[in-house]
Amino acid sequence: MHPPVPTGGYTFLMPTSGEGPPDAAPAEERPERYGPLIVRRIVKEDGRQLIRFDRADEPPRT
Amino acid sequence: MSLRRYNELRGEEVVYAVDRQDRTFLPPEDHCPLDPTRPGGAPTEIPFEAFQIVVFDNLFPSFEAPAGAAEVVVYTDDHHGSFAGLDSARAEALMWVWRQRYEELGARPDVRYVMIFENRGVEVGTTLHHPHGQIYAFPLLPPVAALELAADERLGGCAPCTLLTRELADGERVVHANDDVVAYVPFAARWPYECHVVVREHRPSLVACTPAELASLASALQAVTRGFDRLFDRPFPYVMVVHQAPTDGELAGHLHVEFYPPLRTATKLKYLAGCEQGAGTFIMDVLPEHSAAALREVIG
Repeated sequence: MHPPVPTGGYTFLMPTSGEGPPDAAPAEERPERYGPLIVRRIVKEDGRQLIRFDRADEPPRT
Repeated sequence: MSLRRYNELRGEEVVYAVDRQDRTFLPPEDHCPLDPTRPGGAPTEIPFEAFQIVVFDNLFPSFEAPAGAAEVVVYTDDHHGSFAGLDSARAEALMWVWRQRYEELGARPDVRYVMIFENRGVEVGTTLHHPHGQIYAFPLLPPVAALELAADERLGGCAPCTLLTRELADGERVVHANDDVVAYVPFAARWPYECHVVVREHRPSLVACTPAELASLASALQAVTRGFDRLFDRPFPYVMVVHQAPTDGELAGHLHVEFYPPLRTATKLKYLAGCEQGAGTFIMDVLPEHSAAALREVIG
């Protein structure tokens, strides 16, 4: 469930709601190379995949 | 999980994704789910303090495994940015991100067609202002893709190749060109400032493009979108769709990007009303040649 969050007169739904184990840190897979990009994958707490793309010729923004 | 029903009168599938009814809708800036997660702040979709480009599974998917996928592509961690405003290196990187997602999603057996798109502006239904696009990996061949294949048959070869040749020969509707890519308002545009950005060589998809072509595509797309923003001196709403070959074994297709902007003046929208919805025939208030001339002037 995605609890409504009151915000200034109307409500919206937070996209992440802490589903899953509260202490489950996203695990990052080993970076891959794709063209000029470095590709890093993590699995979010609710099981959805997130992929981070950084240009190899720029330092990753952390 | 979404539900599909076949609409007999239209001869097309309709997708019911009823969980999307409660999706996040125009949240205030300090609750943007596409912002980075800042120290001490509420968690967002992206658990980093800063990032370049991020793709993640849509929390409110229209399609999901084992029958397709729906992803969100966040272009930048700058909430106030835009595709047009990205620096050229980031825009070029985005072409590679699109390519990677097309290749990976298209390889799945449950995916027949990968559509990369951006809805920019509330006028076209965006629900989050943060600069982002989306990817739908369809478990079916959608009608527009099927129509493009039918156009290939009707014209006896690649339709976008034929149309590009015609547009270059005419020249009146071309608004921008570089070594690898041409942008034009199509001969029979259905939107006042509709624009097609077409790779010169026959490339079925981003995967077939050279690195130079990807850079040229990014450059042309930014030239067009920056021109759009200058046209009425305001953020210009549009739907941007990357058209590529189906991924179910059909080899037909020619990479191009189509823009469907809804504005017909700075303050007036082109609506899909009775004739467009009831008859399927678009009535246009402006000739493509006139809108092309206006776009050429602002694209420079």
